[in-house]
Formats: sequence, structure tokens, C-alpha cells
Amino acid sequence: MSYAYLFKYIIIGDTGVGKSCLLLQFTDKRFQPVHDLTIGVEFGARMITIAGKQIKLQIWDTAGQESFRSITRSYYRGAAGALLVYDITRRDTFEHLTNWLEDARQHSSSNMVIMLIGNKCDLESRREVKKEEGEAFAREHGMIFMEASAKTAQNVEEAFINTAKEIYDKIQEGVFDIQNEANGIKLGPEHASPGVGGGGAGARGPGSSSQSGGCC
Amino acid sequence: MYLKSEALDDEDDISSEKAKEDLIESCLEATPPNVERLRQMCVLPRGILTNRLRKKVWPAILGVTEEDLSQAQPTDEELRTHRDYNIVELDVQRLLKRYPPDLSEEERLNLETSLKRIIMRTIFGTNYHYYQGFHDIAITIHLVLVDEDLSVAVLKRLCQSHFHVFMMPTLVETSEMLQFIYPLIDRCDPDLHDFLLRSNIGTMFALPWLITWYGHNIQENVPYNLVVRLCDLFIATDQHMPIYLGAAIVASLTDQIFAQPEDQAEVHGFLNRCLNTSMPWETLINEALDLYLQYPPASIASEAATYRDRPDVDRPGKQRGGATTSRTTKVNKATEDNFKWWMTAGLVVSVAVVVIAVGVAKFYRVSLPADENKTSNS
Repeated sequence: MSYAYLFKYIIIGDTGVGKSCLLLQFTDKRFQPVHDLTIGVEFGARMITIAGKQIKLQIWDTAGQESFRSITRSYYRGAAGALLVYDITRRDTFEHLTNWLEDARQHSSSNMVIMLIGNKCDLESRREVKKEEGEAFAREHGMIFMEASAKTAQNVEEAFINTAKEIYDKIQEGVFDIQNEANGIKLGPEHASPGVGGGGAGARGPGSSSQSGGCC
Repeated sequence: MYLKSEALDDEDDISSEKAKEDLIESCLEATPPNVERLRQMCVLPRGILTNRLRKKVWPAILGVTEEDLSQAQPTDEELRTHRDYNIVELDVQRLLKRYPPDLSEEERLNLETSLKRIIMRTIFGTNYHYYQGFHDIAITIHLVLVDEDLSVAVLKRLCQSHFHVFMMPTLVETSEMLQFIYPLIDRCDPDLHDFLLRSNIGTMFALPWLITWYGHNIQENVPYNLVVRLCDLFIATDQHMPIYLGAAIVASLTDQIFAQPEDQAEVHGFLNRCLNTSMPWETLINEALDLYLQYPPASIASEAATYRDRPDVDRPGKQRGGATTSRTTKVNKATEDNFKWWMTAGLVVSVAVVVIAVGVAKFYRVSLPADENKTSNS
């Protein structure tokens, strides 16, 4: 299927926070209560529409264990977007965010859009991280933020699509060099010329780099 | 050396399943057990045949002693203090699809507890770091051996002989080990090798193959006939054998790989999903063994080191002068002339083993676990 752009994403975060479940919910619209471990990297893809343009999201799902990071981080560089995930029922996964973020920033393009996701927001009774804490962390580090649930699908679409909108905006602003595939953006076969026009639907201005969304 | 053709001298001995079983039994009954012969049985078609025999053959090959089985056990309290305890606990709960399907809830919980204890006892008091995927190995071994102490003893031996590279603080050395797959694919099919390099897929597709001995990727209901047959092969051979098998698998899929777009995601995705129980596994094993005999690890180590697992960066392409090499694989040529090969390879391998031992140890700069020196193969 033809597309105007291909955006490459990575999903990162501690083991067991639900990275693969978020991906599965987004690509297949289903939830697996006991999901297989990701060993190394796996990937999924889905087509979305932004501003009337078909965009293919190619999403690389990475292993969460610390020792794998040395080999999965080579996938960061070619990514336009990252979903950084923690589990709202496990405080340690929130506390490790700084490490993940440093790692991502160090090994990726400086324009990479990072979305912070507090997953498992359906498990309110087991919550260990307040939503405000997630919001504050995202604000402090210039990320978009959402709480989501791979189980109920709440905010899953939004997480992936809002990240794409942010990337699309940056393309419009000329921030991304779309001729350089190392930025994680590839022009699709239907794109006759590299120029882009028209405003993206739901696009935000450059000043609003942090946003809290969702209803969890 | 077990890879040579001794077994072929009296091939009739194993022409039937019953005859092979009898031969394995007689090797086990010998004092001491005929370990070299048992290794040959592991490598030859269908491996050790039954789990009843595996329970005796695997410990015998790995040199598990009575002393190993009677070692003092750390308490559950002590195990809980280990840095890897939490992750092991989470991981064993996610192995659901690899548990026997007819287990009651109570039996499942008991198996989880048992598996967790086996993994923790294996790494407790050593320098080994648990890695995600080791639990796939542990469940395979435990479902065959059943006994907890025996499972621990066998896993401890395997950590020393096969898994130590994966059990370092990072997987950098494992990644270097995976690079062996490219020179091997190059030997099988240079065009395929170049296609894979141009696709920029790196070596990550083969990571779960290597570190879980294919248990993670082969979807198979219990009993795992194929996964345990592969264990026969890997237990009896060098730690690199899963990579040789991986190269043989990739080479066998040449046409399907060429049908993919030359794209990192597409090719990676294809290789991630390509394994299944209906592949010609015994042929693939045979080809892996041929590859090993022709190109032992020491002979390709320096070439392997020139590959870098960076999917986003083009690797330095190899210059190919002269006529393009034929797509006919060298593996197939070797297979056609198999018998002669086994005969001559014995000599080659005997020499190569010494070189491998020295060369590979230097190459990986492997740090030995704390308890390595206390145990010795009997």
C-alpha cells in the first residue's frame, strides 16, 4: 500500500511495562494478558492518516532488560519517534526513566519526538505513580505525556498518532531533513516532490512541547 | 573427536530406533560412560530419541557428578536477595505458552516456583548475570530432566560450557559472537550475504536463536520434540553451533528472502517469523555440521570481527573480484560428498579444537565465573 511518509518509531522502557502489548493493541487491536518476552527487537507496522496523508508507522519494539540495551540502542539513531513507557503500578519503572531518556537522547537524532506513556492505567487500585508525577517529568524534559492502557485500549491510538502529528509538524516547519533517512522519515512512493504543504490536522505550535492527554 | 566418522563405521548399529536406543544404553552402562560415543549419538539424525534417555545422556556428557547433586542449597530467603530475583520472577510468569497445557492452576504455580528456584540456584554465588531468554532454556531442560537438583546441575555445567558469553553484564560479546553468521552465510551464498548486508538487518534476528537455543522462536506444543532434539545437538557440540545452524537455516530460505523487499524491517520481520516445526531440521543440522567442519570458529573469527551490528550504518562492503560465485551452496556440495568429508574432517577437527579453544577464549576475553575452578569435568 502506498504512503506519503514512513515514520520509524522505537518503543523503550523497563521490562514488563507493556511495550509489546501497546504495540499489539495499536497494530492488531487486541490484548494478550501474558505476552511473550521480546528478545532483541521485533517490529510492527500500521498505516494512519494525518492531514489527509497516508503515513506508515514502522515501530521497533525493544527488549527491556538492561543488558540488552547495549545492542538495541543502535536502533535509536534511525528513529523519528520514541515511545518511552513506564508502568504506573511499578514505581521502579518510573524511576528508571531518566536513564532511558539519557540513553535515547544520546543515541538518537536530536529532533526525535519522544512520547512518555504511563501504561496500565486501568489498574487504578495498584497505582504507585501519580499522574501528576508523569506530567511533571514530561514537562521537565520536553516530552508529550499520556497515561494509557494496552488492556482497555485507552489512549493507545492517541499515543501513537499524536507522536506522528508532532513529527509531521516538524516536517512542515522544516526541522527534519526528510531527504536523510537516518532521521527515521522516508518519503513514500506517492510523494512526487520533497516539498510538503498544508497544515496538519490537530497540529500544535512549536511552543507546546509538553502536553498531558487522556482521561486516566 | 566426536564429530568424526567413527559412528559411520558401524552405521547399521543405529539403523533402527531400537538399535540406537540399545547403543545409547550400552554407552551409558560402560564404566566410565562412553561420552564421546554419546556425543556422536546426539549429533546424528534424531539425536537421543527419548526424554527417558536424555535424562541420563545430558548429565553424562556434561560431566555432572554426585558431588554436584549433593551441593548445599541456598535458602529461598538467600535467593530473594539476589539482584536478578525480581526479573526472574516476572519472566517465569510470562512463560505460560511453554508450560504443558493440561496443568491445573496449582500445578502451574508449582512449576513456576520450581523454575524460579532452578534459575536462581544456577546463578547464585556466581558472576553470571541472568539474561532474558535463559528462562526459555531452563524450562526446556527442566521439563526433560524433571528433577530440580539435576536441572540445576546441568544448567550450571551449561553456563560454564555454553552460556557464559550471554551471562555477562551486557550483551556486547554476544553481539560479536552473532557476527559469525555473516562469514558463514557468505560461504553458503555470497549473493544472499550481500543482500542481507544491503538490507541492513544486522544480526539481531539471530539473537533469540542463539541465546534460547531456538526455544523462544519455535512454536511447539509440549512435548517439545524438536526443541529437545536441538538441545541434543547443542549440548554435544561447541557453543557456536546455534550460529552455524542459523546460517544453514538462512541459506535454506534464500529464495524466500530474495522475494522480500530489500528493507531492514521486512527482512528482519521475515526472519523473525520464519521458523516452524515442518522445516527439514535434520538436513539443516547436517548442513550446520558440514559448515562447522569446513569453517570452524577459529577460521572465521577475525573475519567475523569486521562486521558491526549497526543497522543504521552501512557496513564496509566486501570487494568481490573476478567471476561471481555460483549460487550453488558450498554446504550442499559438502553434503553430497558427506561420507568422505566425515572421514577427513576428523583429522582437521582434532587440530582445530585446540586452535578454537585458545583462539575463541582470547577473542571473547571471557571472564570465568567464581565457581568455575571448583568443578571439573569427570
